Amino acid sequence: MSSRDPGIDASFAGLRRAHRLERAPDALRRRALARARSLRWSLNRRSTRARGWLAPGWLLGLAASVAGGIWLGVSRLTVDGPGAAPSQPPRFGVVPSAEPAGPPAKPVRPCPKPLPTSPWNQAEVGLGAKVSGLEAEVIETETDCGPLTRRYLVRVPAGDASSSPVLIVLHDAGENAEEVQLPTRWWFDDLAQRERAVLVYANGSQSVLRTENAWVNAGVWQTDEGAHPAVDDSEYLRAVVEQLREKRGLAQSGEVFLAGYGSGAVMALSAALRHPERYAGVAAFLPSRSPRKEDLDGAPGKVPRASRLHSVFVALPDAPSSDASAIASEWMAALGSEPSAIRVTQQPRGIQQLDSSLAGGVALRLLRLSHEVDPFPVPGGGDPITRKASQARPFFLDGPGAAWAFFQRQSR
Amino acid sequence: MWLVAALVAPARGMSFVPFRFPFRWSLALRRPARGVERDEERRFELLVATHLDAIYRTARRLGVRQADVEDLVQEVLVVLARRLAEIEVDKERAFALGTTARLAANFRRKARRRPESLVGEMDGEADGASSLSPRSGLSGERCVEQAEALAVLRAGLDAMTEAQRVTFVLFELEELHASEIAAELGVAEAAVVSRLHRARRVMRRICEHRRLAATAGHTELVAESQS
Repeated sequence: MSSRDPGIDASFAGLRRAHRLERAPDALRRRALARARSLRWSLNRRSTRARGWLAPGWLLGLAASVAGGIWLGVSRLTVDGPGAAPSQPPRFGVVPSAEPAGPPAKPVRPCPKPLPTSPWNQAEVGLGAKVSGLEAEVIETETDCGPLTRRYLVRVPAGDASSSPVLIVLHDAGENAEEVQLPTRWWFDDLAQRERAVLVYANGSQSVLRTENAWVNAGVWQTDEGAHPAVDDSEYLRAVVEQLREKRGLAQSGEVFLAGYGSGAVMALSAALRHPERYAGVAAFLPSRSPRKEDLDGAPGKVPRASRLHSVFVALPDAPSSDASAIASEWMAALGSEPSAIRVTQQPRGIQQLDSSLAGGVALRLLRLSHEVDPFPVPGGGDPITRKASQARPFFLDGPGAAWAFFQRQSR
Repeated sequence: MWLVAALVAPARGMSFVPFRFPFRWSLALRRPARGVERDEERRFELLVATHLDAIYRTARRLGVRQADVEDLVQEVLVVLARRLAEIEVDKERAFALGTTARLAANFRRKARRRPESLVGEMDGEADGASSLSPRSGLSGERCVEQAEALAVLRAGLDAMTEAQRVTFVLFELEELHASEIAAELGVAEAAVVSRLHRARRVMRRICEHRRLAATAGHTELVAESQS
């Protein structure tokens, strides 16, 4: 194919002529020719030298063979050691496994502090809980420096509960699984019975800072001060669900909700931040502090869309110092929420509801309660102890119930 | 033995395939005759002497600054010297100009990064200076025509994109074939034709503009002389 067009050629002929008339300057021509001669000469000489080096090819091959043999011997010596027995030839048809025969030995390092021991008698475990129809379970979890025995309380709804959701309640710092029922006014019990959920009251490990005056079974979470550095509560929660699944045949649906208040709320949010794939929802009531660096270190960044965690519920009182709001905002930021995505809805009775769609597709609802509204009101109204001041206060908010309804709506 | 032969063969400029069994070291390692090297030297000198002007003016048309042209020419010669054995007979011109185009792109890129562009700005005045030298043997009027034509050419080339410019220079000014340009630039022949079409349109527009401007200037001059 020729692209030459005579008409076009004619129009550019003047330009071409002018271009062709241009010559290289004489000085440049002289220098270029001299340089070209020397260049070609040096290239010829270099190739001659290279050929001279390569000519004794047999010597080169011999040297390569000797070097290869030495290298093989040295590498074999490095791998097997000088006294190692020659490896057995593999039997025909049997592929040797790379895995060792037995279970790998777990390195046990000495604890910086002694692990907390169980202060309770195994025979008396759950005596207090039986009053409210709960069963106590003992579980042994592994830590970096030895086994740790812990317990939890569980109540299974009547009938087939194999596919019922599991609601794990985390107590505040300094409390235990039995005591958590008191400040929450048994609302989680009612909720679990109403919704046919498996209710678990988890028990924190003992604080290493506890004193003689402290409660005997006062527990803290790993997110609290005084927690033993070897304790991993995320692993404990996972082990609890695993034990329910294997021992009782529960939690087959895999729907696990975390609820906590105070320090328990911090632990629940931290666990959801680290392992969003394990939990379907988190209800955090009055989280006591903001997320710290150690909470965020193990987190996978933004909550992935594919994770099962689809809703987070945070309730907090309307404090004058707005510390609680700041804490909630920081947790929201840690979970990946954008500040501009938060929508505030004013509810009646002094309740503010903050809805936010997180970056990972997680819906976040923040209920801000006015100081007049009890986050855990007693059914029928009034405080069970004083029976004052709240008589006129209408029963408005069922915190756990609201959280549960929110979870159900999100999961739909 | 074969491994060593495979290592040795490229150093000799030979391919490994023609070796026949039984292998003979004396053949494999035989150095080329002195006459072959002399022929290569002679071919290289002839190539340089024949195509040096084309390399020089192609570099100038491709926008390399006057201060860099000599360096560019030397680099082209180095490439030609090293790859002389690969250059097919009668393809030396296309190879040399294609290499010039590739290296000119590098030089222009470097020149854009360097802040001292004062020399480059003065290049327009030096354009065609060598053709106005006494060696060119042109009369005064022809010299002026030559300078004007080069100015038009420069303006048109500056208005093109880099790809259009290279294609126009190699096809229209150096008269390489589209297939040769496509092979040297590593593009399809259809792409060369397309670039050339656009480049011609740009150049025609610039020529027309200059012609109109010259006509208007001439008319004003005549009017002034009449008044």
